[in-house]
Amino acid sequence: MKLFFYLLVAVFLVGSCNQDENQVPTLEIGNEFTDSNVRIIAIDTFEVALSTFKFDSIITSNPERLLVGQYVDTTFGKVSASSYFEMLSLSYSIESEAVLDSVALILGYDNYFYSDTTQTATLQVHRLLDDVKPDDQFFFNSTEIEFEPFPLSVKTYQPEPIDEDSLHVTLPLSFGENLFNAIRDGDINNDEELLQEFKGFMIKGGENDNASVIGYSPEGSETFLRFFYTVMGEFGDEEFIFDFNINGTLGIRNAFNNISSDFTSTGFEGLVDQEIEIQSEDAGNKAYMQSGVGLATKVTFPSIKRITDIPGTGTVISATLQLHPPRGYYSNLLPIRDSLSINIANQNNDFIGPLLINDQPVFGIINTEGTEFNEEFYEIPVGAYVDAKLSELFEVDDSILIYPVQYSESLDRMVLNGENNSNFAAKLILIYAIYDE
Amino acid sequence: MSSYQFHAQTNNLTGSPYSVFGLGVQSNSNLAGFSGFGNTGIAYQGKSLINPYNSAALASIQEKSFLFDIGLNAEVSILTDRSDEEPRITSNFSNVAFGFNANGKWGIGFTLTPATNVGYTLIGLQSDIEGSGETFTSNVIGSGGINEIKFDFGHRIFNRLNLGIAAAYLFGSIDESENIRLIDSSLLINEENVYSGFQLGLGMQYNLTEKFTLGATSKFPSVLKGTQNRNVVKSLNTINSLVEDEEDLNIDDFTFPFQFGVGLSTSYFSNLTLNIDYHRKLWDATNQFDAIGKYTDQSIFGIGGEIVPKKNGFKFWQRINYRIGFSYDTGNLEINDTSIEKYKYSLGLGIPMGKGNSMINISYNFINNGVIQGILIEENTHLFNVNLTLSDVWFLKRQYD
Repeated sequence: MKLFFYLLVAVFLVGSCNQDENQVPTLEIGNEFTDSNVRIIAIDTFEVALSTFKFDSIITSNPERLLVGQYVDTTFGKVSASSYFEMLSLSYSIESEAVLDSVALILGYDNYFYSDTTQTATLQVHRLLDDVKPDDQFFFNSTEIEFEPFPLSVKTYQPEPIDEDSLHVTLPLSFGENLFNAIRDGDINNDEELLQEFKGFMIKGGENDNASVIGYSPEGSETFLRFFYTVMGEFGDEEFIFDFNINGTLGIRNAFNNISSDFTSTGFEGLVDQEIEIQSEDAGNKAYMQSGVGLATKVTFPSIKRITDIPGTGTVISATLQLHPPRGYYSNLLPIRDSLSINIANQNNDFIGPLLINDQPVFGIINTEGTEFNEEFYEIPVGAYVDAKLSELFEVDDSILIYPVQYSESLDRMVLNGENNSNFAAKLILIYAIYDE
Repeated sequence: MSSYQFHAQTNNLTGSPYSVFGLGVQSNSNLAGFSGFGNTGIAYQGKSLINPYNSAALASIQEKSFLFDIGLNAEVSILTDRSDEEPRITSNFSNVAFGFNANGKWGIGFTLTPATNVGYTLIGLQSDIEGSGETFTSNVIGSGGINEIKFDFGHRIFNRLNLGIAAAYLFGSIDESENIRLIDSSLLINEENVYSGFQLGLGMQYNLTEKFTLGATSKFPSVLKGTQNRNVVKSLNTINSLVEDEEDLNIDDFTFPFQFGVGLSTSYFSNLTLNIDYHRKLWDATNQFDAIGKYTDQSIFGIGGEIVPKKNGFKFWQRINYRIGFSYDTGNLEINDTSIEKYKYSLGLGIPMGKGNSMINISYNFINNGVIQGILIEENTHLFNVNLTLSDVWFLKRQYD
């Protein structure tokens, strides 16, 4: 009996040793005996409906960028951007012997520009007649605050947003002296007293400009109202500066961008309400978007639920939306960006939130590789949306909302092909796995 | 590759890719020393062993004896296709069986053995993504098998004739998981296919003379009902979600066919016992197909011999059973019009333990299965088997206290 148990133990040991050897790295023999039990089908024939609409308003409060300028676009019409902001000082004491030499508004370029910076542009600085305070909680791209119709200063210039650090706009000495002397003489001692005298500026491009929109930084170190003054002393004159910045309490600047658009004789004249849409079929098989102004592209997949008509039991394992920006609608002056903001809108075209994957927002990423004729297109992973769509219990009339990144802080414009184009059409590429036929 | 995939493999009783077909490959499990002589024994009558081939033989078990049989198998297979060679190693339980004969006239047996085994790991299957020029890769892993619990009853009708009946319950599950990976998504399908069914068999043994025994067996067709539990998980845009978790889905039943066997056993040559068997399984009638395979009628020829130098010798080595055997199996599977044939060469020893009839049976089989042709593969398997066959005479009144 003992012998047997020794044998038994031996066999078990041999067995267990050998089990490790099962982990041979190649297990390919016999692979041809069977195919996958799963059929995987790529489908790109589901309808992709694109349309264009315009948001009634976009919140532009507390901007990261001051947008100023104007350009005229054959497709989008005339676009104008102006910035409203309040300027305060960190302290209100100036030596009593100080004498103002000059005053200037220094606007620091933040490198953003759109359209043709080689065109001469105009910059008008207007004094505000009212406080930079929102009626409600926010400022919108449509918000206006009363300003002095006659500009304090008009500068004609050639924008150099990349090569130069800042734009220097000299303001009238009398304007400067008013404020400077009041502070020096103790008539203005704090923010409230300053705001009684000086509500802030509105800066805008010239009425008839067709140039560019330039982005300026609102940071205190980049953009400021600077008073250059001299103090006469025993050993000669000493020169000083005194600054106002676009300050705000708790990091929220009292500033906003007003962006307006003149759609006269463009295809967008009818877009007077957010719920009005122009289908891509009615717009040259194209959809449009323009940040700042509020034009956005809406995408729906009207027939997606018919995927259940495919015989067998299956599931979507990948869904990619491909959108092509047609050549001819962008250029070095009117560039397109590497990514697109992807969001969800409800049936009233209200923004609901970004499309998320694992709590991270999804972006449409430009793909420039492997395409014939080097045609670029955006790839948008919409699997999560399609999956939710297919499993919703009740019909939800939502849609994918697409617009340029930095939507409220830029004036980018972009055109996308709709699905009825013979080439480079909008496409939804589904990978569908049938695991039970 | 994740470790669980291999973990699944370690519990298998086979590593044969051919087990992807049907309910797997026929188990190499065996009782007593039968695997030492080519798995023959339809007509074999042993006094202290449970004959798994013919229930009629149980009537010939020694009067008032109780038998216990347990076995272990280890397999080393070398798989070869047109370009590669891979080893597969498996080991596991072979059987456990009890037998009893009260009065030399009727005997019963109770056996648990694996009937079929599944154990394949197919890594890197390439399939087309329909509607695109691209392909996808999947890994398919199968495991499990069908077990058999068999109750045998053998009865000596008269001196020369034994009749037997066997009732078997076949049950088990065959698990298959497929893992598909695409660039930014994946799909994992776990299917547990649960089968069960009954099978009845009959057996007969007739002693032509003192030294010649004729045997015949049959098994009736058995339909194994199948249901499936399926769990599907996907990762879409890196979001994991459960697609489906279903139980008791309908799947095709599997049919074991009608089969019969005839055998001859002779001890004509003094201390040599010789068995010749023929089995036929009528798979054609089941009309079963599997992917690229088709089930066809199967014949198994076997011959086996056992020499005991001196059965009641006083020397230990004189009582050792020396066994040798060979069998040829046409296989039940035809792939691309080629049968998967099997040749089996056996050697075995039965080593007596103590003074009674208990024995340790050790055997070695070399099995050549399949052929390298087209997509087919050849498997050369070294099968090692150890069976402990314990025999005890019960109700034996002690002569002396």
